[in-house]
Amino acid sequence: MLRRRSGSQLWAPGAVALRCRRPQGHLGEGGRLSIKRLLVGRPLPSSEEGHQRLGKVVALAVFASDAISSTAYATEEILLVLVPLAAMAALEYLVPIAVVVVVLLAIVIFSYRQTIHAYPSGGGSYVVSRDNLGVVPSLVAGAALLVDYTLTVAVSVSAGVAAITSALPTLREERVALCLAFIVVLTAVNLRGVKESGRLFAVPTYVYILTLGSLLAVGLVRSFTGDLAPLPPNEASLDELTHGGALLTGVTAMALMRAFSSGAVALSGIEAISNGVPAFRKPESRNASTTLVWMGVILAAFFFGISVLAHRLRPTVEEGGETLLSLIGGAVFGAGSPPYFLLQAATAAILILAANTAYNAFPSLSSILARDGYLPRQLHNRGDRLVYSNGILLLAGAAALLIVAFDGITTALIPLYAVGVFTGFTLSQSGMVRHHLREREPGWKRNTVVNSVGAAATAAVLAVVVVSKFTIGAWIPAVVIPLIVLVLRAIHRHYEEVAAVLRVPEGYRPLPHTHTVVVLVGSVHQGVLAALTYARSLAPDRLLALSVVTTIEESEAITEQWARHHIDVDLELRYSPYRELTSPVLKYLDELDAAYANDIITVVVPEFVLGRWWEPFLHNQSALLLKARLLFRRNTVVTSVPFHVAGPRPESRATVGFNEPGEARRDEGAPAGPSVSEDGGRRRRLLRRRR
Amino acid sequence: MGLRRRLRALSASVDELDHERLSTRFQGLEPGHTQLGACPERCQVRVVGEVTSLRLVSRGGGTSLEVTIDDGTGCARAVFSGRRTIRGLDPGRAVVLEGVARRERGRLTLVNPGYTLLP
Repeated sequence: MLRRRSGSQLWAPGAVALRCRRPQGHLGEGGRLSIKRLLVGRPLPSSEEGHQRLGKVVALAVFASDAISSTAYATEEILLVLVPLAAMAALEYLVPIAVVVVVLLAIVIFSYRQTIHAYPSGGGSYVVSRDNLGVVPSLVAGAALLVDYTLTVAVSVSAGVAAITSALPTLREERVALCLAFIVVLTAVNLRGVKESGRLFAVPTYVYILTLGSLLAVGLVRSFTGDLAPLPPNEASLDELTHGGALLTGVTAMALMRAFSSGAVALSGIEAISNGVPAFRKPESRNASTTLVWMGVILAAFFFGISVLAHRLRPTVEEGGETLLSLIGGAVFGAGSPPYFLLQAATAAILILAANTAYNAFPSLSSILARDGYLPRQLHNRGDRLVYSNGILLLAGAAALLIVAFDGITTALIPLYAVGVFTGFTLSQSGMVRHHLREREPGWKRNTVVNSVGAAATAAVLAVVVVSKFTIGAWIPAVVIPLIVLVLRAIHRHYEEVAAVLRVPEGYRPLPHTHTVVVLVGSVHQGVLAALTYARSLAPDRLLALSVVTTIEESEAITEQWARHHIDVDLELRYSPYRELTSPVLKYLDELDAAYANDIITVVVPEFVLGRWWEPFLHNQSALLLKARLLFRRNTVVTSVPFHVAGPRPESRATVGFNEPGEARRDEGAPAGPSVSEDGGRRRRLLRRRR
Repeated sequence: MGLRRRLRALSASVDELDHERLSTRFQGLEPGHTQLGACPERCQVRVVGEVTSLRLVSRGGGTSLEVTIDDGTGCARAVFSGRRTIRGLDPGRAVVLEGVARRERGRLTLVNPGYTLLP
């Protein structure tokens, strides 16, 4: 038997009406200093999109820094494969391998010029293979490129940090932290937008081009005039690399292939321009194509030049130690001289910025994939600054993970690299062959030959990369890329299923239904009256108020208030012997569902909007839980009627009774709270004074 | 208390607990009363139960009070026309109702039954 007891020990049912929220938008945000605004910049309107275009000079810096910067580590990676097997004799293979890489580079550049002209709206491997080869090849290309862009960031940043630690060996232990710091900076810069980052990046790219150009010029001239002797071999690090000569088995064909595939990473980044054609100024295709050729010439000259110079100077490479470029720079300019430091700084800068190429390419690829329904739609949303912010953040997170997992060592990441890029090349070139055969545009025969050669060459390289490096890391992308393809297809299937469910069949009409409105009431106050008025305005077939009570006093108080205010709405009092709120309400709704077929229930929750940040803590949030439960209920609409506690309030027509919320359960047997004229009047005066 | 019962107490939902509580409360309390779960229609019955919900109905001036009782086996609704409140007929109170039961919209209904409040 229920005894009369003080309501204060019990659950507070008055809180039904006390789902509190704070005002937002015009009150909360205006004029407040925003950290995001400081880091990212003011939001740009969509109409400014067209202004984010790049001229050739800036575009070369933005799109080509990846490809050009790989000269900083590609030669070294070739040597790191061969030196353990052949010691210093490995240098003899360097120039022939460089020649092969340069030839491959020329083939790919010429093939990609076709793509740029055929796909002026941005023809990444994904788009080209989607249009020409079908869904699965295009997804393979997309997945491969997503993986490769992530690796571009990881490899470039870690190589850039290696250039810094070569000049300042004390920082060698901090390399992971340095890498992560650079990723954070890159992310922030890219969230600001492509044009500003482009301008920022033009300077280091051109400084690198100039310093490396002069290094090669000075070094080659001095070497060939006999002014610069080969470096003495560093026996200690040579010993470490060859394990005291234990592994000196000589250079096998497999080793040559592996060395070549390490050198072939120099080609990654070429496709960035063809992806980014729409970012060029008009005429986009011609500008992009010219920039691509400039890039190819610079890349080929540098790669070949460094290989020749390394062959002449015979530096001893170290894994995870001083970089090859740093050794050569030290020999040519003199270690510790200003030009040497300039070279190291420029190398670090361009490598860090090479990651920026991926920051442009990855978000635009992921947005295309998202638009086609293969990735979450959010990746297609442009952020405040007209960039694909979500794609940028995703890339940053993935690259940071890679760097931490591989401890920031470039050489460990290289075998993973290049698989994706050559997959992309091969599919893109094969797609172009199909394109030419189908379109038969003027000169299609020549173009078909160009792209066929490109496809064959890149396919061969892909095979070489996967076969020669499978055991030392190439298996990771070989597993990850198919996995990503599966995920992409699963996402697409989900979107298709949702679309199929939502599709409106011919002649479809939704079933007519009746409407029951349930207003949740704790105690009677202005907010509840507002909610009841709102509920009546919905003109439902059935309208009633529901109150969950736990004590007799509550039940008596609310019945009394209902009579006093002449509320012409049926009131249902539900006894909750276990002081729950949610389950009696849910049970009641279930009963309604059972009683009326084809009925939709609207649950109206009176809600306070409180002024200050701490005020919601003073109120019970149990109605919020209820709302959360009801959100997923079928045939149920949940709606809140806000009542602004702070700020101006419309004058009521008549002075009606008004009770403080929760007053009913506060003290036993006390008379109803102060009458409205007194209480409300005082409040209004206070508010006026505050304003 | 057996282990099985303890386990049940841990796993049972509040709803089940409530049913159990009501059943034990009214078992053998009032000799001669009918269980709500097996209540015959259109004849005089005498039922007991706990008040689980009250409903104030006002339709065009006429008011009535609908009281729902539950004895753990089922529930019934008593309609008191022309009343807004009945002193003592509060949530959680046990009552005996005497009247003619019939089904209205699937719910057992007694119109203006006699009532006795239980302590």
